[in-house]
Amino acid sequence: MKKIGEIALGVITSIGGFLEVGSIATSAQAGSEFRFELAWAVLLGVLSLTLLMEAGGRLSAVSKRTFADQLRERFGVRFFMLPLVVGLVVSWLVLAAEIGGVGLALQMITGISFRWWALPIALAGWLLLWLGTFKLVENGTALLGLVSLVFLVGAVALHPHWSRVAAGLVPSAPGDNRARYWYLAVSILGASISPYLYFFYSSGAVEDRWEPSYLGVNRVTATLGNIFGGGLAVMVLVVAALVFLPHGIRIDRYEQLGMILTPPLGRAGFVLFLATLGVTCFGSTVEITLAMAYLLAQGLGWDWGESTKPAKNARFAVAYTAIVFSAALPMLAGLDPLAVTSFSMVLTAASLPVSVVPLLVLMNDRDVMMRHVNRWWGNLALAAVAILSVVLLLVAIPLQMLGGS
Amino acid sequence: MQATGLSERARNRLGRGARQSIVVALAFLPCACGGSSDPGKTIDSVHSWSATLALVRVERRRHSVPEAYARQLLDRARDARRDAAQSLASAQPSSADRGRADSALAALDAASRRLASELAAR
Repeated sequence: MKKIGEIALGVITSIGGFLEVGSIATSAQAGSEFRFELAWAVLLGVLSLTLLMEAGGRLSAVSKRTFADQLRERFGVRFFMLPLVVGLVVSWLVLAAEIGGVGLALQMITGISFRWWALPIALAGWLLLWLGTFKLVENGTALLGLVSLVFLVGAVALHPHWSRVAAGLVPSAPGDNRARYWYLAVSILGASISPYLYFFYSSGAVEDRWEPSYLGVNRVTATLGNIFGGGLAVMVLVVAALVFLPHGIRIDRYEQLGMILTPPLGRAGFVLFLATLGVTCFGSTVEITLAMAYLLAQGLGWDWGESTKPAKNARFAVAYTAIVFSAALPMLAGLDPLAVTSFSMVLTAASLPVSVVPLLVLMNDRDVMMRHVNRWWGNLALAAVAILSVVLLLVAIPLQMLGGS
Repeated sequence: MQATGLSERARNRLGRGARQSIVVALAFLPCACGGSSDPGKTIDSVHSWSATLALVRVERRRHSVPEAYARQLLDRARDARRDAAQSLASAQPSSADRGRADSALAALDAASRRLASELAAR
């Protein structure tokens, strides 16, 4: 019964925590420019993330060590520096974009520029980390994030041709503007398969003291949570396709997104969209900060743990303090949050091989995984994700130059 | 959680590896900053902002969005107009593109004026 409760909570929080600044922006841009044609990219991203999270959770439940610990111990400190530094740089950019997302939600309500909200948002996130526990961070913001279900309501209210939406789940060749199409596909994949997600998930499994009996919980939570959460990202794409594309509006600035739900839901749509943007981005702000501090502490061999008092994990606490306040600086300087988001999503996509390929190796290591090593189908699926990650590394930067705004 | 200790040798390697990795990571940054200044894209963006202002007028009349939000979009449209004019001036478009650009900018100016006058009438 306890495990059923954990599964339910895990799935609900995965749904509430799925949308964030990157998935909202990239799905909306894709819908406003290519109708439902890029829904397949969301599906591919969700399936890839599901595989990676399940593998990361299984690794931690079996070995009782985090993915970062295993990376360092199995491949050596020198190799580990690559995923560590790349992960920190990319996650820091995503974190800056998330702070910008919260700031923009507040700007659209109050009229006060997002720049002035950057430090108060960082302070609020830091206070939650300083005073809260892992459970509060993990579940609290994600439960509030269930407000993002408004996109499902909005999509249903707009009466899309569901058969055409379903057709978009199958990849198709773009009619024109191919560079932009593939650029947005890569951005969507970068938004969906963020390394911080499976590093955070793996650390969470250790914080929650998972053991092999939790493998079923892990599988169901990772699968259902991501599939339902990814469904919401598809709904963002659908709503953007039905609201913006007929008017010829393409999303160049976040402020345009304020009207994404007003045609179907009126004033309530405006308020609920801002609540979704603000809450989900704030949740991601806290999670990414924590994920980066975990990665740093695990990589450098410090004591770590969100549920322990800061005085007992001083270096860990200093790390998340420095991370969250430094990431507020690009927004304080007035960098365009959408530009930072787009840039960070492409870099995220390009950074995937340094963590995905080693994960595939670890999942086949009998010393680590014992009898829970990958079966052949698991290897086939994870190898496909690894190949996808290498392809993304090769194409992401050229596409940024050809198809980026 | 308890730390997993690192030897002195590991710490030295860590410092060296970190420096190398930072160089690799930073190498990506300048490559990815490029964005094209295609006149066609700029003109599409100007059309998009005209459409954005038209939609916000509709939504404002329905009381779906607050005045402050409409004003922000008007400001962003003006920023986009200024950026587009600068981009087109530096891109030296063909005469056909120049004509399309002029008419798109004129349409955006008209849309901005309409929204501005409606906001001022309050």
